[in-house]
Amino acid sequence: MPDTHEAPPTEREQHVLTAPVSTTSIATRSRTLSDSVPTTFGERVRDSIRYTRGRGALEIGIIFLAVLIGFIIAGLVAPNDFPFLAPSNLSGVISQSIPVLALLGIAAGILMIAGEFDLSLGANLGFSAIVFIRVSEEIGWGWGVAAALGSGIGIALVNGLIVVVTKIPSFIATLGMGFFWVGASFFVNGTAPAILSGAKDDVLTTLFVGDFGVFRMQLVWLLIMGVVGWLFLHRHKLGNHIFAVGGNAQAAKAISINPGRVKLLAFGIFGGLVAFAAILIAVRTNSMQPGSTVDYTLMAIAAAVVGGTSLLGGRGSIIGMIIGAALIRIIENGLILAKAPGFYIQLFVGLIIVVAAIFNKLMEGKAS
Amino acid sequence: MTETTAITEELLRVEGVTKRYGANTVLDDVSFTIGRNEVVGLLGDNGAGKSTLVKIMSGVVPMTQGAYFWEGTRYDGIDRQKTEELGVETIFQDSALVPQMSITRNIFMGREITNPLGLMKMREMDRITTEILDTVVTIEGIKSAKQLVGSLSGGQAQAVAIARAVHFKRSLLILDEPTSALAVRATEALLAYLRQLKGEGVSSVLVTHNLHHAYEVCDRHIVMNHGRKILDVRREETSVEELTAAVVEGAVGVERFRAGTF
Amino acid sequence: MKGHNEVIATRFRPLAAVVALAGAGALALTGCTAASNASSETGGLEDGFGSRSENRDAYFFTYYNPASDVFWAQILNGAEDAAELGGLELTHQTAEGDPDKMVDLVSTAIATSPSIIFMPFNEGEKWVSVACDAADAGIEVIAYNVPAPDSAADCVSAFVGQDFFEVGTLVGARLLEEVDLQAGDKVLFPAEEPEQNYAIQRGGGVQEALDEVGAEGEYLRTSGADEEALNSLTAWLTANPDVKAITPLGGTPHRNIVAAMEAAGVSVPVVGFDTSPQVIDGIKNGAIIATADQQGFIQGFQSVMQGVLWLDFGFAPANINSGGTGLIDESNVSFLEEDDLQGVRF
Repeated sequence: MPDTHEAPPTEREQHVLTAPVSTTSIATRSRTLSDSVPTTFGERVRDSIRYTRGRGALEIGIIFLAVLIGFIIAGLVAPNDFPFLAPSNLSGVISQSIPVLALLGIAAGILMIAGEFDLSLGANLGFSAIVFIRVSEEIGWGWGVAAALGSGIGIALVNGLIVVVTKIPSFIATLGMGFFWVGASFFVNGTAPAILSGAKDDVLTTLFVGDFGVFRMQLVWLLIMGVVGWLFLHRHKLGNHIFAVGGNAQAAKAISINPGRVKLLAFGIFGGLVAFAAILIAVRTNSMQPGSTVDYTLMAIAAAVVGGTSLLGGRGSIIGMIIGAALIRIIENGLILAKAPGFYIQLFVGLIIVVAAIFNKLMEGKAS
Repeated sequence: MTETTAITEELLRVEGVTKRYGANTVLDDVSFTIGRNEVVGLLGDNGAGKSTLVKIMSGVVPMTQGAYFWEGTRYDGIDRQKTEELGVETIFQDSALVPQMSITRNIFMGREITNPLGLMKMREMDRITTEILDTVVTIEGIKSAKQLVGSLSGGQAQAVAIARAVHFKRSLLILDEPTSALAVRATEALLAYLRQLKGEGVSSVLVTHNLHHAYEVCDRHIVMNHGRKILDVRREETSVEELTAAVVEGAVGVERFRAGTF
Repeated sequence: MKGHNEVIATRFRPLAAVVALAGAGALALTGCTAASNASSETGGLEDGFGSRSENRDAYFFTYYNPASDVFWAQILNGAEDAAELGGLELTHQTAEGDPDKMVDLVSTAIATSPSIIFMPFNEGEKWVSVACDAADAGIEVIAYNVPAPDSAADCVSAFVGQDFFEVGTLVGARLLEEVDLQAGDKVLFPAEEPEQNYAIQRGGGVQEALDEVGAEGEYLRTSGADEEALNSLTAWLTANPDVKAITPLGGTPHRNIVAAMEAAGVSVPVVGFDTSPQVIDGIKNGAIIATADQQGFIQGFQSVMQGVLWLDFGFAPANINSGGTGLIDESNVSFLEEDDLQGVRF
């Protein structure tokens, strides 16, 4: 054993971390961080692009734009063979299909950032839609909206409590609860679809599915929810806590953030968004067939993953989730418009999801 | 056993701390004091109870028995919220920061600067972060406060964690194996920095395997063995050899060392 | 019997939904043992129908619980009516959608030595061995709703249910009657899952009829979700305004097809499969020409009636296509809405 202890460094060298020995001196070096803070507009743009890379939204956004521009050009050149820009496609399909999946993608994505999954999404969606329809038909749609939100949030919070209190992995807990709520949908409704008819007045129609020629009200809702969601997730301190807990729960805990409470918050937001999507679906289709919404669970997770949300937690963005959903939906739409054989559309969509996920994984490494 | 000499001003004192997990006693009747302006080394082999002790000091884990005093006042049912208020900051090995978040967001995690609606003032937080990184600790190779912590080296990340603790004027810094992720020169700088902090009124507890690092920088050493405190000695009164004997062979090792048979 | 939808409406209280759900558990526990006996007074007809044979115990197994499933409630109603007429001591038990439970229920029933067992084969091979155990024990096994797999040919004597392919040819024939289809004309075949047996069989039947004039069916996957179905149907119709007719192969595309045609600005004749409130509306207002109904009541009634004929007179049971040769259209849609026929027709 050597018995000499090494002398502390007396001169400041080019360390990764340098600290002056003297208690009073403050490091003075030729170049500091403040020197590299961007000042001009150009620098600021370059700076923000550099620190947006590899965080999910930017790269897939570029791909989405490319696909979209391609579709628009094809729609302009051959409006009969590829009627992408036909009002019945824009208003009838695109502006209604994207918002629902995007809201569900945001729901699943926020929960994934917090490090959890809810595989009962589809079941919750179906049950909340049935609650909305039933309550609306009995005592008016205002109550229906409130009841659906209550049911969606309630179901999600129960899941959250099970996961947080028992520490059972959310995969298992929510999978089981998903079966339960599908069964519950049949129990409260029977196997015939719940039908929204008498309660659907003009106000309800305009509010949730209003037709403005080339777009629908759902798109407006997506815009509102997107902005609010962005402010919450990326600019609010609670959003910051969601990232912290999903990224490293131990670190969050050490700084006295309560991971359980933050996860419950994420589950609650998840439930609210799912219920809202349920209302949009029910008002559009005027009905809800129990047991028919299970597929939405994995579609929502796929939208979030395509949009750059990490399956391991701590990473993702609202814009990415919206783009992920939009990409899946317009490709689905484009395949049908291009008259791809009906048997294989799912095959293509599945392939695209996998390719996008691999692409995002590669881009993740480029983050700085 | 060597009794410690008087500590000028008492900061944290624990008395009779015992921790059991079921039938398994991890800590057995441990008492010590950490004074203001002190750097204390907490040493011991794997399984000696160091990390449990750290978790109890920082309030993450409750003790089974024992008392917690801060500046002479006793606190019962201490938790992380309370130690946070008191000014204890723990930098856990590899887990102090969130790699997917930017430096700014890590530094202000849980202490965000917000408007009344709770929305964060990102510009202000970025500006302060830049300032901290330029003045409090100087870190080579960091380009922007917006950089992800995951893109930093182990040493840079460690420095960010320390910068956070210092910026928020913590009174007691507990570092759990801070040097394990660091290159040699970064380690030297870190140790030097702990001494500087002492001058600024911040006490540190350095938990480490590396006796040389500890001996180099600590004013006092506490050695744990199988959940018990076996040595609590000022730096002048010991040597690396004695500490080695204590860590490797426990109380027997200390006796043998003093008898000259180690 | 009270209409199923009514039962639900009175059971459902928005604010007490949770309480109702708590009840779901209790119901699930009692479901498997809930038995309803349709007992007969002695007697029967003079020739011995309904009385000739001594052992009149029989079991009727449902896969889904008729208490919460309208379609299976129709099946059970038919079975109970036939049992009463034929003097069978019919015990009903449900597996509540649990394949393993069905095996347990049938095994237990064999031990009580009934003369006949009526069961569906929704889970195919899984239930063959227990059905053959019953046959080995001298019990007559009659299948309904879903036919037994070939491996059970020696154990199961007959099947009563919709013959998907045959009904498909009926639907196709009706389409040809209503629409002047030419060679090369495009007909949309939307289905929840086009690669599943029901869609292949039904679509194959329709196509066989269309082959006569050379019209071509195109499959489209809609999934079982209404919103997804609306998306794909609307997009497809927008891209294919030259479509000449639509034959939805399943309930989901069928109940959304009218809305999709409106959204896409397309209006073509529709003849499809399965009934729902939306399809009934469509038939009433002329947007849908006709639909093939599985006629669940007949599946229960005819299987049990054949059992009685076998029991008392030894007649060999036959395979019966419960869908019949008729479709539901404007002329007979009112049957589906009559209050006193809820539980029988719908």
